[in-house]
Amino acid sequence: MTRSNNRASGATGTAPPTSATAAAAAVFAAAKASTLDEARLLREALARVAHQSLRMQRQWKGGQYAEAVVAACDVAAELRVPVGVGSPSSTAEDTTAPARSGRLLSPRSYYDLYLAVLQALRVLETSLWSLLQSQPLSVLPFYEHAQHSPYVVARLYPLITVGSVYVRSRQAPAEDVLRDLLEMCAGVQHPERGLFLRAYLLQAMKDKLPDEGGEYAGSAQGSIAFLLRNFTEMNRLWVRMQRDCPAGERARREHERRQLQSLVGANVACLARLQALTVEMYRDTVLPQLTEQVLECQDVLAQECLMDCIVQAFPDALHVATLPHLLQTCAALRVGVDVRSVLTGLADRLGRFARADAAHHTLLREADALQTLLQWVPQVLDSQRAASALSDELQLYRALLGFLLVAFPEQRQHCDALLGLCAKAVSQRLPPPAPPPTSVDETEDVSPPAPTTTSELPPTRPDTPMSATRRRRPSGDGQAAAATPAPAADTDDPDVVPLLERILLLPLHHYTELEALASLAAYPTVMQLLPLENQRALAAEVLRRSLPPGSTGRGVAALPLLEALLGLVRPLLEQMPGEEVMYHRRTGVPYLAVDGELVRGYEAQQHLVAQIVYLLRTDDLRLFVRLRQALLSGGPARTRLTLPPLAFALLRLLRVYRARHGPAACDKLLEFVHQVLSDLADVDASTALRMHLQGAAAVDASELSDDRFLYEFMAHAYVLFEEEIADSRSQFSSLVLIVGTLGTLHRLDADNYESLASKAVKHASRLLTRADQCLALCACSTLFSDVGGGRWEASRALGCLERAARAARSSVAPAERALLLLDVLNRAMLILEELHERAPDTARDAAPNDVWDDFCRFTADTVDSVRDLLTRLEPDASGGKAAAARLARALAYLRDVRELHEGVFLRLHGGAA
Amino acid sequence: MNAALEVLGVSSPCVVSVELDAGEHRRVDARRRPIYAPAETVSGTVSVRVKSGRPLAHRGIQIECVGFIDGLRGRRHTRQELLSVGLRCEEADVIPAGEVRRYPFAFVDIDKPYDTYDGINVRLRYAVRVTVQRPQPYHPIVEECDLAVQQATPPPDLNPSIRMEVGIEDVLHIEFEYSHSNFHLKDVVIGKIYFLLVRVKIKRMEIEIRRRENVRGLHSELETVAKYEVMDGAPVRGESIPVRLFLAQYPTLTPTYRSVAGVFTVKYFLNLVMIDEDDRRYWKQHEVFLWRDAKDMA
Repeated sequence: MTRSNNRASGATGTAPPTSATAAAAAVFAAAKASTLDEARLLREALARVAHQSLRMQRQWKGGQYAEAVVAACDVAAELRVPVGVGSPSSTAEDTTAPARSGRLLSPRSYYDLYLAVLQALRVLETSLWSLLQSQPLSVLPFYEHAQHSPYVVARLYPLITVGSVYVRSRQAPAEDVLRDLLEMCAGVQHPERGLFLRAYLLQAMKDKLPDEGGEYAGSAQGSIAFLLRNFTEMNRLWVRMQRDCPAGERARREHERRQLQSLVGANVACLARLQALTVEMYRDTVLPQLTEQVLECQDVLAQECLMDCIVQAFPDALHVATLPHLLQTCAALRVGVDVRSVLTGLADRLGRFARADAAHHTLLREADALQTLLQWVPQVLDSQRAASALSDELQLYRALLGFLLVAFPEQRQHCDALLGLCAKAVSQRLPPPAPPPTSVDETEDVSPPAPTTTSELPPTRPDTPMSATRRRRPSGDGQAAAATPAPAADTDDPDVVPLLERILLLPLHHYTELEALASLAAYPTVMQLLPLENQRALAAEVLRRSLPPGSTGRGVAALPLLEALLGLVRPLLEQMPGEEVMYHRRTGVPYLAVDGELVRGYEAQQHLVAQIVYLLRTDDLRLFVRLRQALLSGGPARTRLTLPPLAFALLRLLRVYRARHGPAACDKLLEFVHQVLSDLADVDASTALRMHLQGAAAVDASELSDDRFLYEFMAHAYVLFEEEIADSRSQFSSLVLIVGTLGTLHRLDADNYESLASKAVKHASRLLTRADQCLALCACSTLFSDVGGGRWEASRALGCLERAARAARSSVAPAERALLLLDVLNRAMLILEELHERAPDTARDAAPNDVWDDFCRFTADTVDSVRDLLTRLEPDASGGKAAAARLARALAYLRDVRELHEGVFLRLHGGAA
Repeated sequence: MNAALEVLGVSSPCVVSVELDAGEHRRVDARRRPIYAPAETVSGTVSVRVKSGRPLAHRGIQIECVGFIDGLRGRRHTRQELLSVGLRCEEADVIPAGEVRRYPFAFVDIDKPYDTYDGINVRLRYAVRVTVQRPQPYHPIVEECDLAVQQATPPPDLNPSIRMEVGIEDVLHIEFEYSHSNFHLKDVVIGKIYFLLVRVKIKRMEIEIRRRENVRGLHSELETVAKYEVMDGAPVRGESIPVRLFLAQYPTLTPTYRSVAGVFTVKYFLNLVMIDEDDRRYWKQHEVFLWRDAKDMA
């Protein structure tokens, strides 16, 4: 004895497991043992159910009906097994109970057992029913027999089964049977067992409830009373599951209660399915009783689930009729109940209801649904403020707004109020925003214009790799940097931002009129809660929806509306802290960048901004002035894109303006255009140059007698050309444009024209390459040959061409030389022809002979030079063939109109061949 | 066994059987005894069949109708005769082997004042007894045929309901109500139990039918005839639990006997028992009176 004790203590002492692992192992083992026990318990119970069920069927076949009913009781007796959550010690049942291990079944396992029992009871039901079909028996003895079992659970299940047959056989009024069963079910006060029992009662009876148009006689009132009572009892049992719950078990218990939630909810669903349920009945009886129960139970989980269930189960029309009551109930729910999701569900349903049918609108209106909602929702929320997440609250606002917009789109003030609530909700939940970071632009070193960053262009123009330089703008850009950072970006909840976006998109979808949107004062406030990127995307969406062709709106005709619109799209207009401007190294075009990286996609948004001007359906200049001011705050990267449309719109306005307000008023407009173009000139010289030319053309076309502005625009174009265009290619193209425009202007004073034209020639001859010089001079030659414009100065045209030819001859490459000379030749032929056609008499006779001769000789010389060049060119030189072909075409043309070009042929050294 | 006894020559030489009139049409009680009304005539035929091989010499055959109360007091068996009416149907004679003799009998107007009763300590029996006296040293041959006597009583004039409020202060307070205090044997006990205060975790609640058998005031025996669970789980305040107990399912129930020949009394009680989580029992017992309704006799 002594020895064995020693051995035992030695054994425990030799390998002591560390306490932690031992504890963990013990817990694990216990958990495993518990599940194993539970599985075994269930298995045994199922086996017994199967056995008793067989016995029942055998006895039934043998005609021992009473014994069969007793056997059914034995089957149901298996449901007496202990169920629930609790310490095993407290569940010691009496010795007759089937639980031998002292363990518990979880509700899930109990449900399996329940299903097995139900299957057996179904057999009983069908057997009894077919027996009744074949023999005129009374059900009453069966009904009594079922009550002979000494155990309450065991007798109530078969009693319900027999009771359902009793109702079906119509031997007793359904109402009486229902009442009796309902009363008897009170015998089971155990939460889980009672819940399942009553669930079975409901399941067995739900198709046998007397109803309007139903097959069982009786009043629907009785059915309603039955369902309400059953609901009440089930709810009480359900709530009781939570009672006396130790703190550690709470979560698990709640989980299990949630699993059983549908059992309770089935009553409500069944109520909702009753045909006889009228609005009056619902309002006066059903809902008050339901809500009374909900409020009475004081249980968070139950209140949450049941309110949701009520909202989802009953038809919308009933909700509309009882909205105040429902909301009042919501406000009275306990703190901690997720009332928002309930309200969200309600608002969503009402929204769908309103959308489904136009008739529903009037119904909603009559019920004053909106007023009620708006009156109650803040109260409800106030009662629950501390308890739930921001995203839930926003979800609610989203649903409400959706409903509001569908059902009462004209009630904009309410929509605005809701948005205000949203903003309040968000700002209340968030810490005060940090002070805005100082702008990068202001702290940056002024000096280095050298390229610091190289990056790809946005994908809109993928073919031109660009190197950009950062350079500090002198002023204006940093002003907008004071905008507050988006507070919503600070929250941890990932749902908040998308929800806010959805909320903000809702009015966009419903209000096609810009006025409607603009009247929502809180809209921009809510918008500012978003991160900048989202704000911009949203602002772009606003524009996309209001701009033609998407828009059906009337446009913007008044200043306040424009202000509102600008407020809405402010994130797109203004430069935000951290943003900087990078200039294209070659063209000097500004782009938007953050941290040295180009901002992708901003151009597409800015194109939308640029289109705002097309919304202006007015000739009130103040609007345009305001718009310009707004656009300027965006910095050069934006104004580059947004100012040209403004200028174009103003120029288009010019004609209308002149007709309406007279030529004098046009000065103001043109001054403004000029101002806009000077703004643009700071940003993008080459575009500004072109815009000036456009301006000139527009002024010319508007038939203003005064050429002040015409000259001004042209002069500025020249200035821009001289000061800003450094690149030789753009110099050439700009000059050609200037010359082209100048040639079309008719209203310039002769002196002004002369000075501009001679300036053009001078610039042309100063271009960088010979080829450019040659071609530009050729273009200039038309400036003096415009016969119709009365600027016939053949000698100056010839002078231009001669200089062009000289430039061409200075070109080094022979093929290029030949091609350039051919250009000159073509131009000369053109002028000759023009001289001849426009004024044949003047050309041949009245004009000084020497000029005509000079032209002819010059043309002939040019032809000779080309020929000469071509003979010296190697035949397969690349340009040679083209040049030869062009020469051949030119000569062929000369021959075609030989009488005209007689003078030329006479002077050709090589003849006309 | 019989064959063995026969070889030894000690087995009964004849077979005595009692056949009651209309035996197969008569109602029988739980022990399958034919039931007679108190004043009903008991008639029938006794047949004595002498086994082949040996004639039976007897000293007279007597048929009696007897009634008595068997009791058990301490270890002593007591018997009190209530009734003994006899008739001698044959004087001493020798019945040849293999012969069957029949003796019809009828006990008219005998009073059987008490119901048959089978209790734990006391038993009230009626029987038709046939005694074949034999010469010494043989024991007489006795054959008994048990009868059951049941009498219907008229419904009680007053049948008040039972309503009581009981409880343990600050622990449990209930009010119960039974529809009647008198029940006939096929009756249904209908009742309700209201929980006014529940501070204990009750696991279940049962109704027990208990029978108290009191033999001449000296000792009494309490026996639980039936247990019927009426509630499963713990109720809360305000709960009302229905009771519906079909007495017909307990065939051993008898009417309440206030005094049977001054020997014993039988009383019935409904006992409401609540059992809490720690298996403590809280109970309230209340006497009910059972009676036999004439309808049950039909």
